[in-house]
Parts: sequence; C-alpha cells; structure tokens
Amino acid sequence: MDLTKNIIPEEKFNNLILALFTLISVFIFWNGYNEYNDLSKVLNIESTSKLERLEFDTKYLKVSKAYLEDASNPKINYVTVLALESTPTDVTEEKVLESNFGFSKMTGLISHPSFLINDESESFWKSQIYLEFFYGFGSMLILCVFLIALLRINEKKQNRIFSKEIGKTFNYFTALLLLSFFLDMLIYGRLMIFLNETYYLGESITGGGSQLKLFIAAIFIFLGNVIQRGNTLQEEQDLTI
Amino acid sequence: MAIIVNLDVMLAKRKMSLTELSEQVGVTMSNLSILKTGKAKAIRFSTLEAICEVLDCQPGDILEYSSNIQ
Repeated sequence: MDLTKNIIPEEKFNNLILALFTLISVFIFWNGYNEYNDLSKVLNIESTSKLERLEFDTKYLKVSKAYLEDASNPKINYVTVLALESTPTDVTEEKVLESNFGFSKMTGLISHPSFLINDESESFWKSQIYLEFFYGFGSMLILCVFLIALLRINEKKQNRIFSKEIGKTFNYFTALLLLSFFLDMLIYGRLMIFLNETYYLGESITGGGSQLKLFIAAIFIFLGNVIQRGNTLQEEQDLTI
Repeated sequence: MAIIVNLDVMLAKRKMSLTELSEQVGVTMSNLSILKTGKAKAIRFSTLEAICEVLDCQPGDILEYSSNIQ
C-alpha cells in the first residue's frame, strides 16, 4: 500500500465531505420536523389521553402535558422555566395547582418553578416556545449551510484558505453569530419580562445570550482579519511566475 | 508598473509560439500569459533562467524599465 498517495482522491474526498454535511442538514431538518410535530402534540391539550404524560424541552423551558384524575379539568399544560435564577417563594404554580386540582406532586415543580398554561397566557407561552424551538433548529441549520458554503468555496478556490470569498464567508458568519447572540438575549428577555409582569419575580432580563457565542465571534473576527490580510499575500504569490 | 515585459517581442524574434515556450520552459500557459500581459507581480530567477535558456537571450531582453509608466 502506497502511503504517499491519497487513499481517496482529493476531489472525491471533498465531494464525500460535502455529501456528508448535506446529509447532516437533511437529518437536522427532518429531526426538526419530527420535533415540531412532537411539540404540537404536547401543546395540543385536547389530545391528552388518560395516564399520558408528554414533555418537550427547549433551551429555557420544559413544556409538560399531564392528565390528572379526579380533577374538574383533568387535562393541563404547564411550563417549567429552567432559566430562573431564584425560586419564587410566594406565588408558586405549585400552590396554584394544589388549590385548583388537589394535586401536590408533579415532577418538575419542585426543582424549577412551573407555570400553568391558562387561556390568558396561552398565546404568550406558545409563541415563546415556538420562538425558542425555531431559534434552536434554525441555528443548527444555518451552521450546516455555512459549513457547506465554506467547503464549496474552498473547492472552487482550489483549497486556498486565503481568498476574498472565504474571508467574506467568515465575516458573514461572525455577523450571524452576533445576531444570534442578540436574538437569544431578546428571546430570554421576552420571557423574563412576561414572568416579571405576571408573577412579580424580579428576574434580570439581560441574563440570556451565550457568552461562548461572543467568544467564538471574537475568534472569527480575528480569523476573518487574518484571512483578509493573508489574501493580499496569496494574490502576490499567485502572480509570481 | 514601470517594468515592461517584452516576452512577446522575443517570441516573435525567435518565431516561437507561447505554447512551445510553455512546453519547453515547463511553466503553464496561463502563467506565461500573466507574464506576457504584464499582470505578474514577480518572476522567479529559476523561471527567468529557463526562459532565457530557451529563447537564447539575456534577462534584459525580456525585462525593461521605463520611468514614464507608473
């Protein structure tokens, strides 16, 4: 076996990686579609059957649907907020559930504060849950599309890292990362504003947004800068006969 | 650029085509075209040596400095 030669020809290898990322994107899309159906099933309270208990997790929330026996309104939906810093002491949904349904033990109500989805708050919770859901899957899809674009450009530019197009792609991705950071903060802020107004929790509205994203964005800004500077050297190198 | 490449003149003098030169020097046609049209930023000594050897000329026959051109 000749180890000096590529086991898979470079062109075939590039196509293989491209096909792999395309497959991953399709898988993410398909998974997102299934998750969306699951979420809709959880949110559609009428479909709850006896003894059935459904849950769905997003970044800041856990949506649960439960069927309670011997209660006037046996089918309920509640949301457990995973992002709260403190547990509210006076107005807990646990107490609301206790008084309304005579039901004290419900998973998720002790570790994190949970809130009933009632007619008044239903539209807010649904929009918040869908926002978090689409934000999560959208981010993953965009990441895959970015990687596919990067691979295609790299292939077109004959594996040259220092090209204007790759520099631009890095800059676009940095902008997307920053946008995603602020979007995350907005989604979190929206949730906290609602909770503060409705339940007087006094939670900070600026706690959202992953610091890791900011860190990665900073690295990408640096890399984008290096690529753009390297592009000048690359052009000179290309025009040296 | 103030350096003028007179490769086409030398090729005409030697009655040689760019394709022939490319084959004999071992530089691709596209790179020789870049050199011929004056788009090249630099030329390696090894390339210059090979071109001079094939065209039987001096580097000064191929490259010329002109202060009028910026």
